[in-house]
This record gives sequence, structure tokens and C-alpha cells, in this order.
Amino acid sequence: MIQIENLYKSFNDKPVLKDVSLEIQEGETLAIIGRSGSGKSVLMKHIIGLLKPTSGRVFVDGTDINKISYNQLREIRRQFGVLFQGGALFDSLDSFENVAFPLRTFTKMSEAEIRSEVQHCLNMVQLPDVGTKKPSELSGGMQKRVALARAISLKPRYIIYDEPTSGLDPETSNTIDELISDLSNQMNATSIVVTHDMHSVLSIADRAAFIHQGNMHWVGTIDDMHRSDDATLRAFVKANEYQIGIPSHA
Amino acid sequence: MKYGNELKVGTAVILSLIILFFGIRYFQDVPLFSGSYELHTAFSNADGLVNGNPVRINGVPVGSVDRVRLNTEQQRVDVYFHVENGLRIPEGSTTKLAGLAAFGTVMLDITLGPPGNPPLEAGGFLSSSSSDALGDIMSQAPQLVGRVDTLLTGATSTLGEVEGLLANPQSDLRQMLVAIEASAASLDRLLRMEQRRIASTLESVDTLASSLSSFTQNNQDSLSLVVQNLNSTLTQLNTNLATLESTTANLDVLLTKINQGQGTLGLLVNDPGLYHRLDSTAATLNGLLLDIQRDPKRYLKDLKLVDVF
Amino acid sequence: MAVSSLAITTPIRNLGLYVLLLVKAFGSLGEFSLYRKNLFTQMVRTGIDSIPIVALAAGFSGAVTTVQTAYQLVTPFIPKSIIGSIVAPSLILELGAVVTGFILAGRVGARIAAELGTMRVTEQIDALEAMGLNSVGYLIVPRVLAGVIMFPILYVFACFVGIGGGILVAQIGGYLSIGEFVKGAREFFQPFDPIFGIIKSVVFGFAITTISCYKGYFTGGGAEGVGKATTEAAVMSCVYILLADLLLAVLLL
Repeated sequence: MIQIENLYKSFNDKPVLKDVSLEIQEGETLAIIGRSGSGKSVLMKHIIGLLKPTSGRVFVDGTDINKISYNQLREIRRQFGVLFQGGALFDSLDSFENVAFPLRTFTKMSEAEIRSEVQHCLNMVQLPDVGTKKPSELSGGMQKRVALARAISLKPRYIIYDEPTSGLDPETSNTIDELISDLSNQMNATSIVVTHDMHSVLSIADRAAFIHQGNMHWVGTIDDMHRSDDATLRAFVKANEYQIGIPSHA
Repeated sequence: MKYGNELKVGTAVILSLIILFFGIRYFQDVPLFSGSYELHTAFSNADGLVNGNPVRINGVPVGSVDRVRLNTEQQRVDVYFHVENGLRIPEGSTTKLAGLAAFGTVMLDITLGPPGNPPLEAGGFLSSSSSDALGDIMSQAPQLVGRVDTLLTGATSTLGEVEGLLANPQSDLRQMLVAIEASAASLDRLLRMEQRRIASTLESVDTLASSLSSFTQNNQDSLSLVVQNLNSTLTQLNTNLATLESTTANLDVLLTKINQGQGTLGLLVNDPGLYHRLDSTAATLNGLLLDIQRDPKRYLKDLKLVDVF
Repeated sequence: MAVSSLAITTPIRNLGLYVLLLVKAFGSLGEFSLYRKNLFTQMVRTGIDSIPIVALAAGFSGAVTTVQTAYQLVTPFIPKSIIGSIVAPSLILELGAVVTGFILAGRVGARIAAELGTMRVTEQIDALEAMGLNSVGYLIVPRVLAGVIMFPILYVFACFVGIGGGILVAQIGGYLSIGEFVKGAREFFQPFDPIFGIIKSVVFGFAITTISCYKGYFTGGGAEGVGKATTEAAVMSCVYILLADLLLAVLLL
């Protein structure tokens, strides 16, 4: 379980997050939604301690991750798999080595075990034969899928998806969305999806947290969202319905 | 090639260590493969000897200086140096300093002792013989001036005597002048007798000159080239003389400074040959002066002739 | 904050950031086994791959120094061997390390800054961190160690090729013979000179790699930021090489 309490964050005296509190339940798929620049990626980076809050606390399974040593924080981070916006594949390594990287680094698996595990992960993202290709030789959607394979290779308890469908065509977006729901089910992991793509939200999320101008504006289930009469939320959802498939992230 | 990178790095490391090791040994003048052994000597004055200066026997480099240490207890300078293994230095050999610090290089010269003596062991001691070369010249200089002074006094009195001789009608000098007068008369007679022959000779010279003239015209280009070369050579000679002049002036300042014990001239001036020439010049001058003192007449004879003509 | 106080605090803040980065990097030496493979990759890229260009530059430096020294020494009182006495120590004391330094500032410094900068802006560094890896240790330690280890090796090669180039030109160009050159070089050779050169090259290697890592690691602002970081890394490396050169000469000679 992840709890965020009264989180404030400002960069150079410019507030980005203002008093954000959020609780993420074990096993659920939560979508953090909001417009570009609303602070949702900043919030995501606080969850794994890549950013330190100006004030407020972040608990992962009851541990305040900003009160522990760097090495302890790294232990906690190993329970997370993160899919970054651009995939963030290591471009010096080929696809196979990218997926194998966490296994080589953090496990004592034999070469054969690593080989079968990597193949298993690549199968899960439906890219069984890209092993020898460098990231630069893959399309954007394929890069994201390889990155997803890398994120799940250590069987994390939490998977964070940062804008998983941004920059992709609608069909590829759908494939990714399906993949995310499949993975959440198969791996029994808690998923946090940071997105502005309402189509994704509707197809994969159990709950949504809407961030508006640095505030946690609205939190609730997808059903609640449909029924909500909050004007700002409705405007966001409605605007997105016309924009589906159009890359709009800055 | 699983360990390709490690192999490359390892090769580079080993290669550079080899270059470093042998490079330092090479420039330290330590024989690259055969070893060397250390010997020890002492001087009252190191005279600019430093680590790395060459050690020579009969002018052949055989090793180099390792350490120069001031020994305040015995008020001397201990010098440790190494020479090539297998080089037999008999007991009774001595060391001396050669070269001038002011002109760049100081060397440690070993003068070998009697070949019958047993060789020195590693760590052995060689006694030194002093050879403060420039100092010698300096200490000789006042003596030299004294001699010149005596010489001039002698010359003055000699000139007085010459004057006396010329005044005296019985003197050799007077008789010689008479003889020369007679010779001149004979020459005059000879010239008259040979007038015709001289005329024909002059004619030949004239023809030669005209053929030379035609030759010159035919070969004007190459001759003018020769003349040009000669000209530039003369110019160069002129410059060289100017350089020499300024160098001499510099040397003058330098020697004054050395005399006053000022600074090291280091890299820029380095010519042991200069010292040798200076030394031999001094020796020659010395000999000359001694000779003049011993037998002034020999030189005065010449003086007479000069006066006559 | 006023502009003037920013002008003072920014450099101090940057220095602090630089030092903390190094502390964090070398605090993770305990996990060295993770970096071992990376270290050898970096050693090859920094060191082995730089050998040709370093050798080229050093060879020409030696040759040019020889020709120019010969050109300047026209006085008949100075023996030709003095050319060797000037060229060899120049290379061993100064040119060997500094020429190598400048080349590596351009070649290695810019590469490191561009690599790390790209990794920063494409979130690869965040990805490493998110996996639970010490990204500073993982990326910086192997690069700095590779610099510190390979730089002296390149220096030795540079001196070797440089003096070789000098001797070659002296012989072929008819300035002086190999024997005279070596005699001159030996007369003024101090065993401390190459040691000093090695100390210098270690310091230069450290300066170039740490400055470039710092610039690359804290890159911001996309592709433009990477370009800026790359340029700054090369320029700053050169500036600090000169500063370190002077400082070491004053301290150790």
C-alpha cells in the first residue's frame, strides 16, 4: 500500500504540487490523470523517491521513504517496475540485454535461467523475436513494450506506467492498454498509470485521481467519475474524448 | 572473445609499464639489460655536479651519478654513482670533475689506477683529485698580469738600448743598413740589364689579359655567380665577425659574473671546447712569456728587422 | 534572490553539487562488482580507442618541438645536443600530459557528457535509479576510474611516440643525429620528471572525467541541453587542465 500525505513540491519557489494526499490500495489499478503540466509526473516521481518533497510524506508499505537511507530506499525501489514515457531503454544494449539488465544486476541467476526469463517477459509483451535489436531499431510502440518487459522482469509488486500511450497511434495504444490490464491480472501487481488519455483510463483503471493545477482535485472509481458533476473533471473527460489518439503531450 | 576488453586493457598496461621502465633506465643511462654497481667518491666542492650527470673513463660514458649529498660532518660532498657491470675499475683509481657548470654539463671523470691492482668491489670508495679548472685560470690571472708588467718594463729598457745602438756607428745595425743600401744598388743594376726581357714578359701578360677578357665574356654568367657567392660569403663572414664580437662581449660579462660567483648559466651556454681552448691559449701565452723572459733577444731580432723596413 | 548574490552562490552551489556527486559515486565503491564489466568497457573506450589520436598528436608535437628548437638555436657556441635536452624534458614534463589532456578533453570529455546527458534527458538515469541501482556509482565510477587508470598509460605512450617523433625528425631532417639527441636528453634527465608526468596525467584524467560526468549527469533541457553540456564539458576540462597544470608545477617542482 502507498500513502501520500500532504505533499507539497516546489521548484525554484514555484509550487507544482500543493497539499496532495492519496492512498493506493494493494492490487488495484489507479490512474493519475490531469492535463499536461498539472504535476502528475512529479507526483509519480515522488512515489519512488526520485524527487524529494518540499514537505509532506510518502509511505510505501508503511515506511516513510524520505526518512530512510539511500540504500534502504533502493531496496524499496526494487519492488517497483517503472515504464518511463519514452521507454528509457539503455541504448547501448540490445533489447535482450535491456530486459536481462535487472536480472543480471540484482539476481544470481545462471545465464540459462536469465535467457528463459527474458524470453518469458518478451513473450508477455508479445515481442518474442526482437532480442538482438537495438532500441533505435524499434518503433516507439515496440520500445515501450520492451521497456515494459524490462519493468516486469523482476516481478515487481508495483508497476508504474508514465504516459504509456502518449505518442502512439490509437491501435498501438489499444494494444498497450490491453497489455497493461493483462499484466495487472497475471502478476497480481498494484498498477499506477499516469496518463491524460481517458481512453486508457476507461479501459484499464479501477480508480482515478484527478490532479488539477497542483491540487488533488478529485479521487474516485471510474463509475463515480461518470456520475460526477464536478465541472472541471467533466471538462477534462469531455475534452479528452475528442482528442483520443492525438498525441498532445508536451 | 568474452574477455576482449580485459585483454586489450591488460596489453596496454603491460606495454606502458615496459616503456616506462626501460625508458627511465635508458635516459638515466643505466644499461638496459645488464645491471650496474654503485661506487662512492667525495669532493671538497661539487661544482654543480647533479644526479644524472655522466660518469666517464677516458671520455667514454660508463654510467651516471645517482646522488650528491652534502656531508657536513666531514665538510665534503659525497657522490654516489653507478657504472656498468663487468667494468673493472682497479684500486687506486681516482675521480675528478670535468666540464663547467656555467657551460652546462659537469662530468665525473675516472682516472684508472694501475691495471695490476685488484678491482674495486660494489660500494667501494674512490679518492678524488681536484681540478678546479676555471678557478685555476682565475688564480693565474694576477700572476699573469705581474709577468706582463715585468715584460713591459723589459721592453722599455730594450727600446732604449735599440736607440743607443742606432746612434753608435760601430753597431751591427748601422752596418746592416749599409749592406742593404748596397743590395738596393745591385737590384737597380739587375733591372737595367734585364729590361728587354721584362718588356717581352709584359707583352705576354698583355696577350694573356686579352684572352682572359674574351674568356670572361664567354663565361660571364658563371663568373658573376662566383662573384656573387664570394660577395655573400664576405657578407656572411662579416656577420659572423659581428656575432663573434658580441659573443666575446657576452663572454666577458659572463666571466665577470662567474668571477663574482653569480648564478648558473645553465642550458644556454655549453661548450667544454671553449674551456679547453682558453686553457691551451693560457698555456701558450704562459710559455711565450717564459720564453721572452728567458731569451728576449730572439724576439728583439725580429723587432730590429721591423724597424729597418 | 538578487542577481549579485546569485552570482556568488551559484558557483559555490555548483561546487557543492560536484563534490556531493563524487562522494555519492565513491561511496558506492562497495558495489564494485556491479561496475566491473562497465569499467573495462569504459577503459577500452577512454584509453585503447584514444591511442591512435594521442599517438598522432604526441608524435607531431615532438617533431614540431624539435624543428622549432633547432630553428631557434643558431648560436655556434651551443652544441646541437641541447635540442635533445630541450625536447625530451618538454615532452615528459609538459607536452606529453597536456597534449593528451586536451585531446581527451575533446574526445572523452565530450563523449561522457553527451552519453550521460542523453541518458538524463531520455530518463535512462531515472530508469536506473527506479530499478534500485545507484546511478551515480554505476555511471560515474567506471568512467572516472577508467580515466584515472588509462590516462597515465596514454601519457607513457604519448611520451614514447613524441620523443620518437622528435628523434625521427632530427635524424631525417638532418638537424642532429640520434646519438646527439639522446646524449642531450640524458644530460638533463631527472627520474622524477616522468613520475611528475604520471601524477599530472592522473590528475588530468580525474579532472576531465569528473567534470564531464558532472556536466552530463546534471543535464537539463532536452537535445539543446545535451549540446550545451557537451561543449561545457570539453571547455571546462581544458580550463581545469591548465589550472591543475600550473598548480601541480608550483606544488611539486
